[in-house]
Amino acid sequence: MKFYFWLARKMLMSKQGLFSGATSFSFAGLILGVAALVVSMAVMSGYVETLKTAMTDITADLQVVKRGKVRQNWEEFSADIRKDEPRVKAMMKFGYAEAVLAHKGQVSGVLLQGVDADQLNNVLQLHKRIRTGQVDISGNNINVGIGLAKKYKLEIGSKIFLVVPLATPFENSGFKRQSREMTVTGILDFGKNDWNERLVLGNLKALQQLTEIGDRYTGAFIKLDHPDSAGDVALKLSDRLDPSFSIMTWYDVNRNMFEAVVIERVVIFLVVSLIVIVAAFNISSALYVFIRRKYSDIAIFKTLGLSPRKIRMIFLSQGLIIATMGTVFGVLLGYLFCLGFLYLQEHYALISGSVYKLDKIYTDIRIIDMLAICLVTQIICMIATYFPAYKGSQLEVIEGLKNG
Amino acid sequence: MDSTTYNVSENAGQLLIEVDNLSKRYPTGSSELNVLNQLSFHIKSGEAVCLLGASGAGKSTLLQILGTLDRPSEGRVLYKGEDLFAMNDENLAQFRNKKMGFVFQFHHLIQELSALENVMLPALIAGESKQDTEAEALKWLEFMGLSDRAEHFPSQLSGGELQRVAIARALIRKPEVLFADEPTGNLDSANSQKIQDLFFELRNKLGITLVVVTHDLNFANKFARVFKVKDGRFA
Repeated sequence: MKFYFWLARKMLMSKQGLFSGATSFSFAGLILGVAALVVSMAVMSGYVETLKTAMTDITADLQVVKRGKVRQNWEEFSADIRKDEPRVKAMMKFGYAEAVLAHKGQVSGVLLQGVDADQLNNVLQLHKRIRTGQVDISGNNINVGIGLAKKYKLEIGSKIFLVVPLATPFENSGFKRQSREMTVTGILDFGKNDWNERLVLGNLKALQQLTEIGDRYTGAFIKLDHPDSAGDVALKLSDRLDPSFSIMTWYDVNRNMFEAVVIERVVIFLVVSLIVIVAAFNISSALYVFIRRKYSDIAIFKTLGLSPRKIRMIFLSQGLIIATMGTVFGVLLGYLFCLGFLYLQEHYALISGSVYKLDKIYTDIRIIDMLAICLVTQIICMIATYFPAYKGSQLEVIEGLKNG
Repeated sequence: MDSTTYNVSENAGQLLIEVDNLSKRYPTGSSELNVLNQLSFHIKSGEAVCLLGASGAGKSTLLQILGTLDRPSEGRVLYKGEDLFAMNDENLAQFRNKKMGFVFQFHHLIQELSALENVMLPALIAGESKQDTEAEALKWLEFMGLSDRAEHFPSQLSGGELQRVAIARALIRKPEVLFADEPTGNLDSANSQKIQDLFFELRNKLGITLVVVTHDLNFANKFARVFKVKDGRFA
């Protein structure tokens, strides 16, 4: 094997070799194709990872929600969930309420998420999302998203009014309102565009008072040892808990989006692979020309004792060298493109958050993606080089010597 | 080259190649061109045989069939009693690598390889280690008077030097028989004379069997056995 690679390399790298002249453009095409695959897969994986991180940071790994509201005592409820489940690391109660935010003559609908301030840092990862101020939701303090802060020109210390409409029990069409002045103590990047523009994070007690629900709460946010064990834990909890509880993993909350991404990944991989296939066709035709120029050498190889099978091995080794070099350079170029993509995102609004839900995507170069790209590139290149290699190996010695 | 490391003369006089009723025909449109017509002869080990004839007489085709580079239309070629063309391509290639050396009118050296690497090629094809092969190739280049040209590429060598590198390449596997097709046809008279002398030096020192195709009468006259080929037959 060593000999074939040695000879293939010598013939490839010479001045008249395959990389000389116009054929180098075919090789450049292969590198670009691989780089395009790397970038597209890294962006798709990054999209999933960015979305997953946003979900687990803001709504924890697992949510247990009761239709209506939970009346059960928190200690009992949390003990029920923790029972025989060591993967639960921390949990806290939370509540949601639709509200209206009013500030300097402007109003808009927001979603108030009230959480237990004491357990906040154990369950949610808000500290790494802070852009200005601090994570402080004690009393009437709130944290808002960067989109909302920009829209209302909110700063640390800004006062806003939260108004909650409450249905009155005796009138079908009537309602009363509860309002409270809140203070902005932190501006966060929640990771998802709609959260950044709509979510207000406050104290559960304040929410309970505003919505007049007493000690009741919507459910529990649960932090697990690892987000990927959420599905398994959810399955076990659903067997144990009352059917009136709904259990959702971080995946379930955006299931449609995650499932769409899986299909998009496959489609994009296939479409971008076409670039590699086109490049491989070019390499194949370049190899045909190269082998035509090497008829005399092939004849001599046969004269010296190389069988047709071994001649094929030499040219297939060339294909393997081209594919490996194309993959290595392509992956490196793809990595540089990813860095460029991140840089451009930092400085320009490349992605419309209203369309893609996220306004910033981190690229995630995964080993499994890289292995798939390497494998596909190698297979495509080997198929592309097999046919010229086969043709070369079938050459009659006499014909080759005449051509020399 | 130390003849003690490479000497096949102990087999001298034994039957090496037997040609039995050999014919070669090429299709030309609706008819066939008879290049070789029912030839039968034998070559003994250590013999120096010349195939003499005009262009198109069929002498190169005969040499190529004897060297297993082409297959006959009819007849058999036996090498020490073994039918060569009963072998498959893989075995035939190995046989060629081990038993036969070839020199052509044009050197046919691989342009991308140095003189040393060109000489090493048959041994590397046989799977020998690069280290051993390199030492052996250097010995052959030294024997050819080309030790200072080992790292030169074919484009940096003269016609005579190229042909001597090609001869070294043909000999590195210590073949029993050396086939040469017009080996001096592309050389000036001084270099031609040197190559002719070299062939007989090889035969005398190493006992190698020589089968040489030429149309040069002076060269042919140096051989003990000359087959004159005309219209596919021995004249």
